[in-house]
Amino acid sequence: MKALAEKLFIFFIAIAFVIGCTSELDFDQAEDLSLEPVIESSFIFYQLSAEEINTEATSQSMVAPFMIRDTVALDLFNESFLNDNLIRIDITRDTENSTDEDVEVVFNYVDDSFEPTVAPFSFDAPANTDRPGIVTSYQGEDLELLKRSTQIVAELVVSPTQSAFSDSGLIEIRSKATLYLRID
Amino acid sequence: MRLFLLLVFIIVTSSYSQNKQLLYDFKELPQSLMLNPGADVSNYKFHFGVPLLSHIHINAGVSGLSAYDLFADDGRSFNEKVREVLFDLSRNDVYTANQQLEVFSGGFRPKNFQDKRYFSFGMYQEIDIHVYHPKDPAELAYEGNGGANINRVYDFGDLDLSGEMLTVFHFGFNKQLNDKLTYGFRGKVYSSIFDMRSTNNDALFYTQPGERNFYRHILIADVTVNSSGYADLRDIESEDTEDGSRQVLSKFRNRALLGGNLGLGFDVGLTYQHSEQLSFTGSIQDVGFIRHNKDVENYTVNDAESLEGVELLFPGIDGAEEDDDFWQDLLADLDERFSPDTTSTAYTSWRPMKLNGSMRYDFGKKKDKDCNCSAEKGDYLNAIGVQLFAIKRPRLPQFALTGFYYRRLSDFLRLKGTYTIDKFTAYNVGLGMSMHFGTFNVYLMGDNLLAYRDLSKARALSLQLGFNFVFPTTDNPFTE
Repeated sequence: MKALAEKLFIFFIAIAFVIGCTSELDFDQAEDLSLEPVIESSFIFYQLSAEEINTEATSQSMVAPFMIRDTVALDLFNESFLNDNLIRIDITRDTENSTDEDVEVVFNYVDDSFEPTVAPFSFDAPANTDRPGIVTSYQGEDLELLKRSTQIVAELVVSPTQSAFSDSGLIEIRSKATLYLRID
Repeated sequence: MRLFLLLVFIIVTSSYSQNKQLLYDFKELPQSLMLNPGADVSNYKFHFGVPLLSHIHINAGVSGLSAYDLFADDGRSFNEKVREVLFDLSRNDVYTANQQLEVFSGGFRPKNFQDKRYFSFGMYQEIDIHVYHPKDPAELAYEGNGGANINRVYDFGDLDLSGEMLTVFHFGFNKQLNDKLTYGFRGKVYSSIFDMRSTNNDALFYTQPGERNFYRHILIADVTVNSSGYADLRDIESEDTEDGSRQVLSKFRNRALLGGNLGLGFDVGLTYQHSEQLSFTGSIQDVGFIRHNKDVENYTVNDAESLEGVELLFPGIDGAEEDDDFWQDLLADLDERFSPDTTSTAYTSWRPMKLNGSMRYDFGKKKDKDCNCSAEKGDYLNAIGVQLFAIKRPRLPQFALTGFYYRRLSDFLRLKGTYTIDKFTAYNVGLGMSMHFGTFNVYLMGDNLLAYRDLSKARALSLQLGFNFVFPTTDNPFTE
């Protein structure tokens, strides 16, 4: 009888080992996981002094208003991770113009054959003025168009306010991109 | 992403550390020799385990997190819960997994069972996975470097993981030197089946206000992942056929039987019987290494870069030349520099060394009904004591402190209850029992029993069971 009691005792302990309770869990929730990181990245920048611009303008015998230009190949959206998960991009630009010339800052987003993908971005930076925080936001269809860009053509149109060029001052352009990602 | 999460959860839900507080110093069980080669086995004549069933050990757990925290069906947003969990865990929280299976084991007392020495041997298979919570990379992936995270230094050294599968062939020597002291030694040959580790990483990423542009981004990386036994499998698995899986098994079998990367190690231990009732034990397990020189694949990134953005120079200005592709080339170069280089240089991995110690006090002699007097020497029915366990891990050793009560209910049944405090939980109650049907022995042990009230909230569980035949030196097994 004692042996039987012992065996029963063991049996119940064994059961306790095997059977445990558990709260209601829903593992399908993992399907809902979506990360939405916000990435801040420095973007295009340049600094030009009035002196540099004038030297170039003089050597090229350019007549005001004149334009200088730089083309940069930046195939950023070729990366499939960015291409698949980017839902919005904000490009923020600051300009500081301490020269005596009015300038127009232009960024053209173009594809391989120099066809514009989205409307060019341009703004005026009048002489001796700072213009911080000019934001362009791309999402939805605009973003899809922007993603086709493989090159950026930056232009600076200089319109001297006086008949003679002044050599003082600096034009500084800073920009950053804020990338909103959604990773499902 | 989902796959990654699933992987984390497989590790989380099937894992834990290697403390075997219930089995340690459980003298009736030959597997206690695996934890302390100097265990007191003075009344063993010989023993052997039932092949493949003599010791099955599974540990499951994670520090700081339970399945309930993430998957409770409570109507809260899953992303919110993930966020809470990610930000609550510290970089020293761990996901660890350990599984062992004894393939065969045995032991004997030489010279017609009269000797003071006891030899034991066997082979077991082990899987050990240990991953620190990658706090900074996970938080960077979760919320990005923007907003309040400008100036935050992300430490990719938080990436710290090791996983291995191996078999161990061992031979142990145990000797009762005198009435007080028993010591033992076990030599081990490790046969690695698979190994992957990345434990000494030094990498930073941060974004700070720039001088000439909005931000300066700084990336410094010195990251290495070592692997062995992986490259070979990848080639097979890509075929994805029945034949492929047969090839994998055949490779595993070959490596398990000393055909792969090999290593050496040892355990030492002792039991000191201070008085009839008071005893001390101590042991060190797995002081050893594996040299990986076959099928090695290492991945390294070692570079640094600091960048303020894409600077335009305007051709012609200040002598700048026309080079439209300058930045495209630079980005490609960066991509190349921060992509892992693959090498096959041999490396050495150290086994996670473990330390055990205990103090035990036996009391309560069995009463002899016939003469109404106490039984002979050593015939105690109860024991209490404390045990300390430590395991070496890449950053810091992990400790566990256990208090136990042992009770011999009858010749047939012995029980051991434990209360353990460790990294995973401060309420770990465990129960182990050993049943003896003549020379046949069955044991079953589980810890964290309180967690069984709600398994989904459990952070760690472990289970050990096995079947042995133990032939004692006396007719009455283990009553001494």
